[in-house]
Amino acid sequence: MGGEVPSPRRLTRALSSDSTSYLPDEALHLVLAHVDAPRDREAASLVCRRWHRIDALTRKHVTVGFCYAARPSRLLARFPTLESLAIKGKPRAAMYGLIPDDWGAYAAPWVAALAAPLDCLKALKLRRMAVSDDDVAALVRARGHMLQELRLDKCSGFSTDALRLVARSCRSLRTLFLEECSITDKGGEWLHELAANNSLLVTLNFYMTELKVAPADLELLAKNCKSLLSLKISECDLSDLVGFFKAANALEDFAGGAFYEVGELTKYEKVKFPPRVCFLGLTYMGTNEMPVIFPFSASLKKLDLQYTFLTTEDHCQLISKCPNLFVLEVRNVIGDRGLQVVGDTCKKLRRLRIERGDDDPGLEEEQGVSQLGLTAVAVGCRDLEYIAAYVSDITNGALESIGTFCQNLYDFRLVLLDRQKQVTDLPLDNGVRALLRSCTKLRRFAFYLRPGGLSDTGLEYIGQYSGNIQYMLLGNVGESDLGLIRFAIGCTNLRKLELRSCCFSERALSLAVLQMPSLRYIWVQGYKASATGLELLHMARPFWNIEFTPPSPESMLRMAVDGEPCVDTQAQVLAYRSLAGQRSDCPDWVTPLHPAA
Amino acid sequence: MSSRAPPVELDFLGLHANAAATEHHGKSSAASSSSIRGMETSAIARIDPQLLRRVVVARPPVTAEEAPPAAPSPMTVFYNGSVAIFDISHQKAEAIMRMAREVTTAKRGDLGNTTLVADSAKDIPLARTKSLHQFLAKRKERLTRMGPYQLGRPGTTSGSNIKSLRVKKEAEAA
Repeated sequence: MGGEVPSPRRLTRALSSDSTSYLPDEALHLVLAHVDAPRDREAASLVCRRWHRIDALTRKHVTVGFCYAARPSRLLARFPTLESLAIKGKPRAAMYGLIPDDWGAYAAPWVAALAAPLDCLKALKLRRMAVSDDDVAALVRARGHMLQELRLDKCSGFSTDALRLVARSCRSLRTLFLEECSITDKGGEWLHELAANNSLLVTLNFYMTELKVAPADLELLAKNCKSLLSLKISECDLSDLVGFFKAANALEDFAGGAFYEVGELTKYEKVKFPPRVCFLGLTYMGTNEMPVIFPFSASLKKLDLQYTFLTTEDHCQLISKCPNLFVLEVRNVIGDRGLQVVGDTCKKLRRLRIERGDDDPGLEEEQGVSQLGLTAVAVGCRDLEYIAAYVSDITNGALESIGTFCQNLYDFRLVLLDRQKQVTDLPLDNGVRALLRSCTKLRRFAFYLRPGGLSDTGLEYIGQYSGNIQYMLLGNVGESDLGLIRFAIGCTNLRKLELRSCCFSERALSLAVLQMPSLRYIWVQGYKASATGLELLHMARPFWNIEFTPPSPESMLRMAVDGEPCVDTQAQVLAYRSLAGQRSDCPDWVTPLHPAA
Repeated sequence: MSSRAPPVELDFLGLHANAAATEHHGKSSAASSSSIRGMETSAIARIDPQLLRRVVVARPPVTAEEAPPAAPSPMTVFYNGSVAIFDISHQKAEAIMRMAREVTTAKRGDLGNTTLVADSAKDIPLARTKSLHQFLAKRKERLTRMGPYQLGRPGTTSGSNIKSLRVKKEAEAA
C-alpha cells in the first residue's frame, strides 16, 4: 500500500470493530486464505475476536503437537473447513523403546470426532499413536470417499485387514504412508486390492515394516498408477522387482527392497531403475552391489545408506560420484574420510544424518566420526539446514566452525557416543556458545553428551543464546540444579524440552519450568526422582498436566537408605499444557499429579 | 542360621549428630517431602508396602554356593526418628547394609554432583532407534550365518570373488 501509514486509530478501526468498517469480512477472508505458515496463523488468531473467527473459518491445516493437549471435538468444531489434520502422540522416546506399549495416545477419540460433519478433510496424519483396525474402519466409514492422504507414522496396533479396507474404500487415495509401523501381517492381499482399485496413487510407503508382499502386485500397481512417484517398501529381493521398475516410468523415489545374495552381482545386473529416479535407499547393499547405483549417481538428490553393508572406502567411492545430493543419510562407518569426500563433492547438501553404527569394533571399519569429519562437512557444505550426528569425538573448534560456515542451520543434533574413553576437548561450553550465536535460524537443537561434557556455565549459555529455538533435547548436561535454573531463565521461546540422564532434582525441574514462558511440553527421564514426585507440584497451575512414572523398586529402597532421591532409569516426568483436562486413559504405572482439591 | 544374630545398629547418615538440624529443616520447608497429606512420615514408611515387599522378597542374584540358607530373621531399622522392622534373609540384610555403608562413605568424601552425574551416565545408556537396532541385529545374523569367507567383507577384492563365483557357476552348468 502506498502513501503514508494510517494513524493508529484509523488502523484499529479498519482492522477490528464491525464488518461495516474499512476492511470487510470478505476481504479479510481472502487475505487470510493466503496465510499458511502455522506461526503466522497462530499470531493472526490472537489479534482480536473477529480475526480469531475468520482464522477459524479459513484454517486449512492444523498440527496437534501432542494429542492430549486438546479435546478432539472442540478442535474440530473450531475449524470446520479443515482439509488436513496431523496429530502426534507418544513422546519421542517411544522410537527408542523407552515407552511401554500401553502408554496411551489412542487414535479412537480423534477418529470418533472426525465422523462429525467435516466436509473438507482429505488428509490425516497420525504419528506415534495406537491405532486399531476398528479405528481405521471408523475413519473409512466417515471419510473414506474423500480421503486423499493417509499417513500412519510409527503407529502400532492394526493389521493388514485395515489396509484391505482402505484399499477397497478409498478410491481417491494419493498417499498411503505406513513407515515404521508395527502391523500384524495377515497376508499380502491388501496390496493386490490397492493395485486393482486405485489409479491415482502417487506415494506408497511401507518402509521399515515387516510386511510381506508379492512383486507381481507391485508390478500391477505400477501399471495402474501411472503417477506413482515414490515407493518405499519392506524387504523384497531386488531381482524380483525388475518387472516393477520397467513399468514404473514416473518413479523418482525408491527405498527398501534387499540384496539377499551378497556377491551375486550377476543376479542383480538386470535391475534397471526407471529414468527419473533421484532418491535411492537399498537395504543390505554391499561393496559388490554398489555398481548398480553408478549409472544414476550424478542425478541422485537423496541417498539413504543407513541400512547398507558398505565400508568406509565404499562410501568414499560412491559419494564422490554424487555431486548433486541434497540429502544424505549414513551410519558412522562413513568415517572422517567419507565426510571429507562429502565436503569436497556435495556442495548442494542440505540435510546430513550420521547414525550410530554397531558398537562392536570388529564390525564397523573406522572409529566413527569426529571433529575432523564434521569440520570438513561444515566448510564444504555451506547450504546445510539439518545436521544430525552421532560422533565419537568432538571439539569446541568444530562446533565453532559449524556455526561459522553453516549459517542456514535450522536443526542441529549432536550425540557424543560413550565408546571412546577420552574426548579431545571437554567441556564444550565455548563451542556451543559460538554455534548458537552464529546460527540464528536454529529452531531445533539436540545436545547429548557425557558427564563433564557441559558445565553449568555451558548450560547457561545454551539458554542465553537459545534465540528462537523451539525444541531441545539435552542429555548429560550441566553439573547442578543451578545450571538448569540459569538455562531456563534464558529460554524465552522454547516450546518443547526433553531432558535425559541429567542430575537435576524435582524441585529444580519445577522451578525451571516456571521460568520458561513459552514451554508447553517437557519430558524428563534419568533424573533424581523421588518416590512420589511431590516436589513436581511446585509447577502446578491451571491447564498444566503433570504425569509421573515412579522409580523402580530398587531405587525406592536405595532412596530409603540414602534419605534422598537417586538417578533412576524408570522414573519419567511428562508435563504439558492442555485444554482437555487430566488424562482419563493413563496406564496404572503412570500417576497424574495435581494439588489436592 | 540357627540362632538370631545380635542386633546391629548403624547410624546411616550420622543422624545422631544432625538429628535436631534435620528435623527442624524438615518441618520448615514449605512443600516438605517428609509429609504426605499433612502427616509426618518417614522415608521408609513412604515406600509403597507392596513395592518394598517385592524388593525384600525378590530372589537375590545368583551368588556362590557358600551363601548361607535364606532363613528370614528380623532386621530393625532406625531412621529419621522412626522405626521399621523387616523380616529378611541374611543376604538381603547384608546387601542393604553394604549399600548404606557405600553411600555413607561416599557422602563423607564430599560427593558433590560429579560422582552422581557419572553414575547416571552408567545407569542411563544411550538408546537406539528400533529400525536401526533391527537392521544391526539382522546384519549380525547374516554375518555369522555366512562365516568368515563371505564375499564383500573388507580385505577381499570384489573382482576375484565374482570371478570365482562365475567359475563355480560354469562348473555347475557343465
